[in-house]
Amino acid sequence: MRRVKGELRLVPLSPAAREEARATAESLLSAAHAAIGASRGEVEAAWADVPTGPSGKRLRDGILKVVADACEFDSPDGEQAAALRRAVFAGATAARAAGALDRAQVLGLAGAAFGLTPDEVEARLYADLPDAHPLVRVGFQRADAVVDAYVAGQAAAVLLRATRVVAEVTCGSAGAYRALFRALKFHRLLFHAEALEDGAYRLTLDGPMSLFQSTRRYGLALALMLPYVAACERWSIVADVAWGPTQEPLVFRARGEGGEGVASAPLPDEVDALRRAIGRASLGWRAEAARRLLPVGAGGVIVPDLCLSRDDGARVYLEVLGYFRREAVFQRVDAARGLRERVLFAASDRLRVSEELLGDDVPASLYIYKQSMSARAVLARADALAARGVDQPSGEG
Amino acid sequence: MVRPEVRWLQGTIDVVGLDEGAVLPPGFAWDARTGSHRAPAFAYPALVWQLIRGGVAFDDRAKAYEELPAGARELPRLRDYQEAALDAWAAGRGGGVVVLPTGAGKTLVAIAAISQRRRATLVVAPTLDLVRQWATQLGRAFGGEIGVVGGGHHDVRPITVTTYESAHLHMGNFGHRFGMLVFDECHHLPSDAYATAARMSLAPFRLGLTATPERADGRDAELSRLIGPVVYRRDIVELSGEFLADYEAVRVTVRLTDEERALYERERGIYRAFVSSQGIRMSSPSGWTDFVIQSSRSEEGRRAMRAYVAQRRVAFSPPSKIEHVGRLLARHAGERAIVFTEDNATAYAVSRRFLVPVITHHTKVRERAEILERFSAGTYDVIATSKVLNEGVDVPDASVAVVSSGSGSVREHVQRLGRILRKKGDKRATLYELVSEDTGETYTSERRRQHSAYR
Repeated sequence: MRRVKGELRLVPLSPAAREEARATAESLLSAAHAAIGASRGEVEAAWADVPTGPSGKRLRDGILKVVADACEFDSPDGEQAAALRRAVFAGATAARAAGALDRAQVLGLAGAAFGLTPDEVEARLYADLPDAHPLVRVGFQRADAVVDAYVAGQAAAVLLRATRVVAEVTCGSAGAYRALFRALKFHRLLFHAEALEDGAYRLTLDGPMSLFQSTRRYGLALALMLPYVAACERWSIVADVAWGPTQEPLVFRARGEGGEGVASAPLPDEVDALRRAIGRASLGWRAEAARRLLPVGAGGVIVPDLCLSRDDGARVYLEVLGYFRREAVFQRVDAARGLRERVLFAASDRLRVSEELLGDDVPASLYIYKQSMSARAVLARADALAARGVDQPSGEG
Repeated sequence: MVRPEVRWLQGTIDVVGLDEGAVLPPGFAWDARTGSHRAPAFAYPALVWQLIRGGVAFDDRAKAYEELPAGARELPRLRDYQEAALDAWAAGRGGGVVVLPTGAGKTLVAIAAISQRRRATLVVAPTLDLVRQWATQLGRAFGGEIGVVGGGHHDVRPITVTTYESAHLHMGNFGHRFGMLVFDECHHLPSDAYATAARMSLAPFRLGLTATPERADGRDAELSRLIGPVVYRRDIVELSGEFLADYEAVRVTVRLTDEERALYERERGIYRAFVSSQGIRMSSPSGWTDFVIQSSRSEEGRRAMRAYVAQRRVAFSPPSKIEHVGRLLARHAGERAIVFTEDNATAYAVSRRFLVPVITHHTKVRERAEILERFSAGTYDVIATSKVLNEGVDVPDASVAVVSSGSGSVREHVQRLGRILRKKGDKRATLYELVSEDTGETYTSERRRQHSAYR
C-alpha cells in the first residue's frame, strides 16, 4: 500500500516480493501441517519462528493472517475443565483458610474425584482456552494459493475503511446485473444507479449516515460488495477511504475485467419471508427470486425481487421499494408506461404515497403496506394485474 | 400545505414534506438521495422543539419509545449526595454526567433518574459482566423482564441493557425505541465508533456515569455534546470513611533476583541502544509511534522491539513478584482479595500458581457470574484478573487488592482501588501495588498515582 498525491495505491507484488511471499507461505504452511493436533499456542509459537523477509513485517503478517484464517481448530467441551476448576479453586480456598496451601494435595484431592493424577489436572485445568485448542485442519495446501488469496484480499481490506464507493460496471448478462443490484439491496446500502451510454451502470454506494460524516460504518458492507462488482465483465471503483488511525481522507481506485458473473445473491429477509408466505398461501401462485432486469425508458432499469407465476401461466414481477426511497416510487410511476411486463411495486405506507398514483391503463400497480407485506394482499393485486393486457415477452430467463 | 412527517431511518431522522429551503436545527442537511431533510437521530429533540415552538403540525413517525407504566417499585432511600446528583441532572434538562467514585452508588442514581423520567431506557455498559449486573439490579427495581443485547442475547425491551460494542452495532436498528440513555463508565463514549452510536439515538434524556471522566487523549470534552455537561462531582477522598470503606494504599518494592536483573539489563540495553541510535525521544508524544515505525524497518529494529517486550515482561511480571503475591495472600488469609495484572498470561500464571479462579476476556459469561457468586459466598477467596474487573463490577466483599502489574493509566489505578471501597460493615480496605525495584515500572507507577486518592 502506498500513498501517492492523495491516493492510496495497492503496490503489485514484484517478482521478488511474490517469491518472498510464496516462501513465507510455504514455511507457515509446513509449520502448520507439521503441527496438526498441537495447540493453537504451539502452532503460533511455530509460526513466530518463521523469519521476516526483506519486504518486512507487513507482508509476513498479511500472509500469516491468510494462513491462520484458513486453519481450523477444535473447541473441546469446556464443561470438564470448568468442573475441574470449580473443585481445585474451592479446595485451595479451604486449604488457605485452614492455614496453608499445599498445591499437590489440593490437585490430588480434586483430581481423585475425576480419576485424574495431579499432573493431568494441571494439564487440563485450562484445556478450553483458545490457546489450548488443537489444530485439526489447514485450509491451504499450496503456497501459491495463499499468495493469490493475499493479493485478492488487499482491495477488500481497503474497502473496510471506505466511506463511499462509486463503481462503474458492465455485465455480460441481465442476471449478473440483477445479482449485483440484489446484493446492494441485501446489504442495505443506499445506491444511486445511473445508466451510461455503453450499457454500463455507474453506482454510487453509501449509507444513510454518510450524509453527515465520513463514516466507515458501511465499510464492511462495501467490502462485501467487492466480489459482486469484481464478478462483472468490466468494472472499476473509486472509493473514498478514511485511512489509518488519523482517518486520513484518501482515494482508492481499482479496476478489472473478465469476471464470470455472480450466479445469485440472497434475498433480503422481508422479501424471502414474503416468498415463503406466498408458497404457503395455496392461492394458485408461486414465487421465486426474479432472474430478469426490466428495461424502461432511456437507459433505465427495474430490478424486480420476485417473479410471481400463476398456474395458468400469468406472470407478475414484484419489486419491493421498502421505505426509504420516496423518489423511487415516482420514478417507477413515470417508467411504468414503458413496461413490457406486469410489475407490482410494494412500498411502505411510511413513504406517504397513494396506490392511486398508477391507473388501470399501465401494466403496473402499487401496493402500499403497513409494517410488513401480506402474501394475500400481494396476490390479490397480482390477480388484478394479470387481467390487464400486456405485450409480454416469453420466458423469465 | 403538506403536513410534514418526521421519520426514523437507520439512526437518522428524515423530515419529509418540507421544501429544500426550509430552515431546520443545526445538523440537518438536504438529502438529494431521498428528497428529504436528514440529520443524525441525535438532532431529534431540537427538531421537535423547533416545530412545536413554530406551531408546525407534523406527524411523528420517528419516536417509537414508550412511557414506562410505573417507576421503580423498590428504591432505597438516596444518600444526600445521590439526591443532589439527581437534582443536578434533572436541572440540566435531562442531559448530563454525574461523577462519583466507585462504590458510591452511581447505579442507584441512574435507577432514580429512570424512575423519575419513566421513559423506555437503554443502559450501555462496557463489559458483559456489567450488563449482567445492571440487568439484575434493574429487574429488582422495576420488576418484569429486562432486555439484554450482547453476549449472544438480542432481547429488546422497554428497559434494555447492552454493551458499547453492541450499541455501536445495533443503534441504527433500535435507537428510536428508547427515550432515555444511561452510559455507564461513560468515559468510553468519546471514541469514533461509540460516539456515532450516541448520535444515532434520538433519546432526549441522557445520563452519563463515571468515576473518572478525564481521558488521556482529551476527548472527554465530547461528553458534553453527546450526553451533556458534568452536572455533579464528588471524589473518593470526600466520601471515604462515611460512605466508602476506609482504605490504605501500600506500595511494595520488589527486588528482582540476580537472573531476572541480568535479563532485564541485557534486554533493556538492546532496546535503549536502538532508541538512542534512531534519535527517538520516548518521552515525546510521538515517541512510542516513532519507535514502532522505526523498529519495523530493520532486523535490528525488530530485535529492539522484542527486547522492549522482554524487559517489560521481566519488570512487570517476574517470578519473584508472583511469589510476593503469595506472601500477601497468606498475610490476608480469610479475607477476600483481587489480584490485578497487566496481561492475561500473568493472570493465568497467578491462577495456576495459587490455584485461584481467573477472569479474563476469555472467561465465558456464565463462568464469570459463577466465580463472582462463589467469591461473594466465600467458596473462593481470591480472584485473579487482568483488566476485566477494572470497572464497575460489584465485589463488595473484597477488602484486599493486589496490583501485581498495570499500565500507567490513572483511571485504571483509581478504578482498581474502587473495587475494594464499597462499604460493608466496618471493612478496612488495603490496596497493594507491587513495583519492581530500579526498573521502568517505577516510572509507570509514578504516573498512575497522580490522583488525590494516593496523596
